[in-house]
Amino acid sequence: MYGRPHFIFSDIAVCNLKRSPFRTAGLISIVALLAFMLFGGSLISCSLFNGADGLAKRLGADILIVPKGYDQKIEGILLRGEPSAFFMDAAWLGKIAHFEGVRAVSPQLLIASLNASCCSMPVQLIGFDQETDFIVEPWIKTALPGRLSDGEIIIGGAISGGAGSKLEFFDREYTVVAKMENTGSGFDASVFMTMESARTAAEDFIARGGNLTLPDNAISALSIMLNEDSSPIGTTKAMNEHFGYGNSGIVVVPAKEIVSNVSGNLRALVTIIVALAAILWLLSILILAIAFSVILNERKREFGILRSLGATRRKLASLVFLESGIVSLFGGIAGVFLSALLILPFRTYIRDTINMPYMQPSVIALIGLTAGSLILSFVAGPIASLISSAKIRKSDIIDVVRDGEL
Amino acid sequence: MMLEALEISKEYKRGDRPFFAVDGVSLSIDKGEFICIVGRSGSGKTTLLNMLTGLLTPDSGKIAFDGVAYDRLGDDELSLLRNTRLGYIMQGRGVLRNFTVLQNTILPRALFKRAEDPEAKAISLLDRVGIRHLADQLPARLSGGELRRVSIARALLSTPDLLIADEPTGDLDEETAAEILSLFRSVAEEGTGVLMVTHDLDATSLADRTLVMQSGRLRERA
Amino acid sequence: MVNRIITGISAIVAGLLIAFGPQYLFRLCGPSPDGHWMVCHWTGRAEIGVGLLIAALGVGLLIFSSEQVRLGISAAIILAGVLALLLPAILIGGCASEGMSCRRISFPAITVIGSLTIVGSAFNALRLFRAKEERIRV
Repeated sequence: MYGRPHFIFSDIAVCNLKRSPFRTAGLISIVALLAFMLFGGSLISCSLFNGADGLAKRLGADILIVPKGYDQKIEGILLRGEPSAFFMDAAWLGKIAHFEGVRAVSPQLLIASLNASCCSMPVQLIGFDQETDFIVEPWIKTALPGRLSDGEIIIGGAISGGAGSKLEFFDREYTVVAKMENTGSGFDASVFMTMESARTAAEDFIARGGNLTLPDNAISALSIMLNEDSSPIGTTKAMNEHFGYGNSGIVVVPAKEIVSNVSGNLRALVTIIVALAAILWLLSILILAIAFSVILNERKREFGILRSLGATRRKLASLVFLESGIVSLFGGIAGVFLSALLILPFRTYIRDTINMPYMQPSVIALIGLTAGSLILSFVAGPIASLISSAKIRKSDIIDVVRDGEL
Repeated sequence: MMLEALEISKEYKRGDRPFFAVDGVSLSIDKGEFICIVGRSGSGKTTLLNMLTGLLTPDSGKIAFDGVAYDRLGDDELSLLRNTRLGYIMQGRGVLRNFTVLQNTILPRALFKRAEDPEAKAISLLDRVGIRHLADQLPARLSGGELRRVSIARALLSTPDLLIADEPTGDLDEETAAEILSLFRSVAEEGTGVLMVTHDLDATSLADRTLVMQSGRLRERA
Repeated sequence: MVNRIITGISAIVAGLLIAFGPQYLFRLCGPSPDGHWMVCHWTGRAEIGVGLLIAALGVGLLIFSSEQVRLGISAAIILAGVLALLLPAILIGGCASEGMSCRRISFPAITVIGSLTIVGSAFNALRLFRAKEERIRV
């Protein structure tokens, strides 16, 4: 007649939560905060690992040689894609090729474009020698169908356009033949071209009044792959000794050191994040446990009434459990949603702020992180209510309504 | 005999000194009997009722319902007994403020499910106690008398064998009190046992038997 | 009454943020060196319209007491919120590179505010719908 659905046990829990909105909102907020931190922390950690991992996997060079004073710049290029242009004499190629322990060496020419038709932000142009190259190839092997001709370019994942589109650098048009997938490293904002094209681009830049001096026979860096039995540190030391520790105008950089430094920092950062997350989880459970305990005291009368109507102790305990489960469910969903809403769209901003290789995990991994965060926050409530539930199960305290006590 | 209590006692401590809230009480109630227990506040009436409903365990003595002793029953069985065969109208406002009148009335059925739909019955009970028009209201909007009627309707939902009422006319006006007492009378005449505890001597007029509780002891009224 | 004020003011604030945030707070890209406006500029202009629409609907939430009317307004806010999200994502778009200001900051901000607007209005609509049902039943 009233058309209302049958009033069942779980309705008791729902009604209780609904009619104390502030209290319920407070409890939900605690769980939401927990879920927010869990998901956010794990997402950022995962993305940092992905970035460093991508970088480490593909960095083919053991040692890099750059002009003196530009070792920081090469790190900037690798990690953050901060464009640079610097030059040294191509004759170094011959000097290094025969050095002990060197298996292969390949030159690159680096030009910074201050604007291009694609974007008014600096882009790194990287010219590489296709005959000897081993450093660029691992990054682009999935993208490049054949060999690159002059005037053709491969663009990084962060640059707009796809195969077939055209980009302009210094008033000259280049055809995009392929686009790299995102790597989370500085190469996402880079453009790869032949050495000749890079040289042409530099000349165009100078012709338009650009502040650049391009020596003849110039290269920017040398990438060196060592023999299996040569150590990067050892060979670096030997080269530095041989070439006079920068007196000859070059600097020897053990490339993988850059990456392992990043990894080292990363490990420390992630350990801190994980430790904080664990502490937060325990703290949340503690706060919720205290809250539930206080609430339980307040609800003695209510539980006494339910007992008098025939509620078993187990049912009362499960009522508390159910309420805490509902609170945790909504809090978990809210927290994960808000966290995802803030972190996922702002990934580029976060990467620039953290200043480390940063690549968001795949969809499957994201689902995993979401599920994990939801589960951990969902169990926080019921775990916290265990003490209260146990109290209800054991004691007579709530059973008795003594004379005049109501 | 439906409910039988034999020499039950309950001891409490007030500071250092122990005292008996209930001291060697024996009591039996049969179907359709309307029994009244009178006594001043603090005489142990509520403690006695708590023991008779199985909420409190006596320190000594035995209680049995339909021949089954309480100390033989586990929590689940005692709770089922309270839910289906006893109707307990608590002292004060024994109504949950988060639920509407109708929801409060069918609350016992939310604890132990049974096949029949309780709503129709609940509404007819609310009608019988005269507050059907308040079915969708929250308790905060009801007067003391109306809240008491909700407790009564709720207690009658499972058609109990025994109705136990603790000060049901406590803070009510004469007219409402009289209505409630005559309701108990008619319930008793339908075959339900009624045990009512009160400190108001006038309320005993409709009862079959009146007992007096004093300092934890029970005796027939002279 | 309290609900009306909260939901109304939230919608107004959200609408104003969507409209003027990209202009003044989380700014879009400036013009290119040759004076051309880039694509994101036009997205920003469109968002001014959508944002003001949402703010106006928020005023409606404040003014009207009828639950049915407010339910309709909430539905409209949801749709406007979806539009606010679609403009930068699909309908008009933004600059090419991910590193550009519009892609880095402005559009993510619109995503956040638009999503919250949609979710908030959905909750409000659900609440109003339920209240209406209860009233019909009794």
